[in-house]
Amino acid sequence: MRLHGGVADPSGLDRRDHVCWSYDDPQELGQVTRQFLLAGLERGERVMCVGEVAIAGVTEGPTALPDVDGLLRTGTLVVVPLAATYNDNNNAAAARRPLPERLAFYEDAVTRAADDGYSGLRIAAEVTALASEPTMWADQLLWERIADGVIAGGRGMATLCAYRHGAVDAELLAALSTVHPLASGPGTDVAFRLFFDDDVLTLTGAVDWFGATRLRGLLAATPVNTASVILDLSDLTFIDAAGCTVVAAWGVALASAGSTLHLRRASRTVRRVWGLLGFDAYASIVAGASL
Amino acid sequence: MHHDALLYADDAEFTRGVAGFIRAGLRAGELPVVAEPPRQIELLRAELGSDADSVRFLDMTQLGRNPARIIAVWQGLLDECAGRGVRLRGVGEPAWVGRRANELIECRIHEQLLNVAFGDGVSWELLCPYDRRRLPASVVAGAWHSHPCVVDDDTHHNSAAYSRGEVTDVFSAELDPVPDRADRLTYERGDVARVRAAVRTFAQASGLVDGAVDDLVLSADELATNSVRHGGGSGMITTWVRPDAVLVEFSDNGTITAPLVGRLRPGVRSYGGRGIFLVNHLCDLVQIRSGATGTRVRVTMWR
Repeated sequence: MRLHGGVADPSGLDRRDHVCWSYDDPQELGQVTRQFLLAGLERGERVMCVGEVAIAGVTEGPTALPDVDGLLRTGTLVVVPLAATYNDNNNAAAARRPLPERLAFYEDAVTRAADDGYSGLRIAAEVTALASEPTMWADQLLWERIADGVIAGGRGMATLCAYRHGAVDAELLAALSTVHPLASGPGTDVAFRLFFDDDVLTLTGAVDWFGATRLRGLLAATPVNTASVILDLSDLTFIDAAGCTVVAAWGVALASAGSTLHLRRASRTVRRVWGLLGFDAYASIVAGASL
Repeated sequence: MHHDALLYADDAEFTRGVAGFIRAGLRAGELPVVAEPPRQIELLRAELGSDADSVRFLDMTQLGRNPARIIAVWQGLLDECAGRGVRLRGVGEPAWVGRRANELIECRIHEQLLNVAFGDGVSWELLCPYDRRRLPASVVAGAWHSHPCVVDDDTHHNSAAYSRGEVTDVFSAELDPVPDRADRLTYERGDVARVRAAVRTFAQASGLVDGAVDDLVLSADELATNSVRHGGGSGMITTWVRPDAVLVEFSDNGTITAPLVGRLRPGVRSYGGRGIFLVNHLCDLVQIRSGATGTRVRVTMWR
């Protein structure tokens, strides 16, 4: 399974890692971004910096990458201001590129990195501006999940997503953290995580009544395009009746959309609760080996 | 429903009374279901002969290990009978000889709540045998209290002591005192994960096996969550062990007003209402006491 949970050292992150990094001080983020990208350069990866805050951190001042001009000239470092990546103009709130175009941009960048002889692509993105207004929240959450699916696919796209603590709504930051397998910084220590492992949706940690509402929203917004959806529970340490009800209700919603939900590697307790509450009709519990 | 008690003095009275009741059902085309301890099932099979093939036998020591689980079983059978267009005729002996005193109290409450659950519903028969010689006198007196009709010494009596089982009645039954040496921990919103961790540590230290530890932790989560949501926002957990049992009690300032809480299987599409139902199925004994001064839910795991 992909590395998941809290992380302290950005230089240890590898090809399939996707980390949500909150910060209070831009200088401190500059240090983190520098360490993260330097580790990529050591591995022979192309490094990409998205967002004006992240770009400033590694191109100017004490946290600038060594020989940054040379890296830029050779295309080893690519800088992508938010406007160019996501928007038709400089106003992030007014006009943003639709998610399919964003996805195509990054997939293309991974392909080009490989074509140009790099061992992968490593992305540090400071995207607070894409999560600042309530009208953006659902899109940004969905985007992180689509991106997580691509990163999990293993083509080599280690990604650090930075959000400024206090500038992003607390519940949104928690939800953003939840859909990253890894997280660090204030407001990102969440009880459970929901991310992709290869193409399998994976729920880890503890889900209780207090987290069930978040889980319900995230499951409902999960990008699903297969007739059979697997939810892996091998690292789920706890789930209560409210959490199970949310999962079962998602099974009902998937069924009405033509998909079937299967729970993989469910614990003895989950199996018991599933039977006691009569949820078998909404999501089957399967042995890991059969899927 | 017709809810009768059968007070029997010995095996012969038991088998004669129950077999007669079952055969009357078979003649009427009803579905007889017998929930009894294994020994009584063997007695009945011998007495019924080939008629036993038309009877469904359930092990009461399994399904009624916690008496609060039994009503859901009868409800499931009633649903099945409704689907098949047959009438249900049940025999249930939750208060078998050898049960612990606090289990027998919960059996009495269960018997009272049967009247609440099914008293105004579809027509069916339920006969509840009691060993009048070997059970404590208070348990036999309780049968007169919880059954409108009692068969004693082969004679039908309308019980003058019958009371249907109202909230004040069932939620104010006696509880063993909490020992002074019990450990206490208060909790409020944001503390439920801490309650789970504390109960896990306590359950493991008390020698429960892994499955029972997980069951107790899930039960603790559900009950502490109920305190936070419905019990005034906070509560206290008290834990102690006895030679035969591990006990955890949750107390808060809420008041439970639904006497059947946790006893009927929740609808699969409804949100909520599942916590105490699950707790009833995960724990060996669940004792709910509630009134104007607050609620106590005590759960027991035998060891």
